[in-house]
Amino acid sequence: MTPPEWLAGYLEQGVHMPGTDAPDAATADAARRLRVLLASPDLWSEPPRGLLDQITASVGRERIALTRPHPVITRPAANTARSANAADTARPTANAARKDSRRRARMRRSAGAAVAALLAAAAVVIGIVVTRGPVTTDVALAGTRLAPAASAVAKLHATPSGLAIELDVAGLPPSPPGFYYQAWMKGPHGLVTIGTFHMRGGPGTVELWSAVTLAGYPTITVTREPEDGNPASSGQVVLTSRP
Amino acid sequence: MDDDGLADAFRTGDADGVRAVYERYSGAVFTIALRILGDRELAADAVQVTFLNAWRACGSLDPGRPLAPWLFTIARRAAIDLYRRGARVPEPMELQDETTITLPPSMEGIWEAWQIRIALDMLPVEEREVVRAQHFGGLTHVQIAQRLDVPVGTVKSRSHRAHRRLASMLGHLAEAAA
Repeated sequence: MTPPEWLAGYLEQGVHMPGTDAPDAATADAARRLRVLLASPDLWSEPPRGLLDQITASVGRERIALTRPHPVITRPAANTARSANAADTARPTANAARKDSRRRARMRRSAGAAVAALLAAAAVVIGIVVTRGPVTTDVALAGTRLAPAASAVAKLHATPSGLAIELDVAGLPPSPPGFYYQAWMKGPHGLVTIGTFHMRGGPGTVELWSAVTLAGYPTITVTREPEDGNPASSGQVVLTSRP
Repeated sequence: MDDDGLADAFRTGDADGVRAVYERYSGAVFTIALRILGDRELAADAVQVTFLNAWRACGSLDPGRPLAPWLFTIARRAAIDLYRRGARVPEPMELQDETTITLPPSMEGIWEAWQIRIALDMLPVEEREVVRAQHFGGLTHVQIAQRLDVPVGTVKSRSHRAHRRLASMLGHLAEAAA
């Protein structure tokens, strides 16, 4: 065991203090290394001012994104269609039917038209659900040193064709001539591009598509790419959901 | 506040919780990021990424598990990711000797730097000031006394107390090496 008084004396003076037990060579080497580290500039450097504000702002944005209620797609048309069917199958009494046969025929025609219209509306809604799917996940992206004012929220929809992604971007400047932005999903198996854009029309929503899932590729990034024909990432990340 | 309290505060994600963890550990995160990346701006990016990732992952931090080693792992990974990414970024630079290869510092060295920085940040301010002047500034006790405008005896007693505290907090590093 290293005598604390020996280590304290060595760290302070850099020499073996008389009257203390000298440790073995390995311990002495370790103590020497600690003393060298104490003089290293890295040990005394402070992070830049304002960094905490940036971090708390990013955390705040993510909290908002995580707590924002997801849009709920209801199917009123289907419910209404069931109601219409129920109405259609409800049978008035025979007397009433005889008395109002014309009126009933008109109502059936009207109800039939309503059912058809409602079924058509339901088909549209269901079609939207099938092609877009409900919003399943929101992912917040923060700007990096290359674009500190930028932020984005990616809304991911699972569809039979792949993952539809709406990237709502703010604070990202238009890409300069000769450059464009490229979005990626990154995971243990590598990097998959999910689209390119330029933001020259101002802030807004970019539609992206991915053939890979968030579970397998949990990181979403946006890089700035030169128009040089090289399909590999430049590594110049401007937005990231994590490192 | 102890680490358990800090972790609980951090988990809530409110500004006070994030601020408390940042104030305790941002210096240590910056230190190891700087040692790995060798660039203040990149190290600042690594600090930002570290705290964001830690906040995102804090739900997985088991109650009772120490916060510091967990945060160290996240910080080291963030800095190394930036290091690897930086190697792919074509940046204008002066021509260098092509045979020069820069390697990141060893895991052991990074861990030691992390521990020492945390220990330094736990010293009382007036003791930390003396240790800084002595080791980083290379000043004698007399020079430190002049600079701080306090008696030499005060500097000596502060230095003695500070190094005893450091030895108490860092002794395990010397023992681990033995």
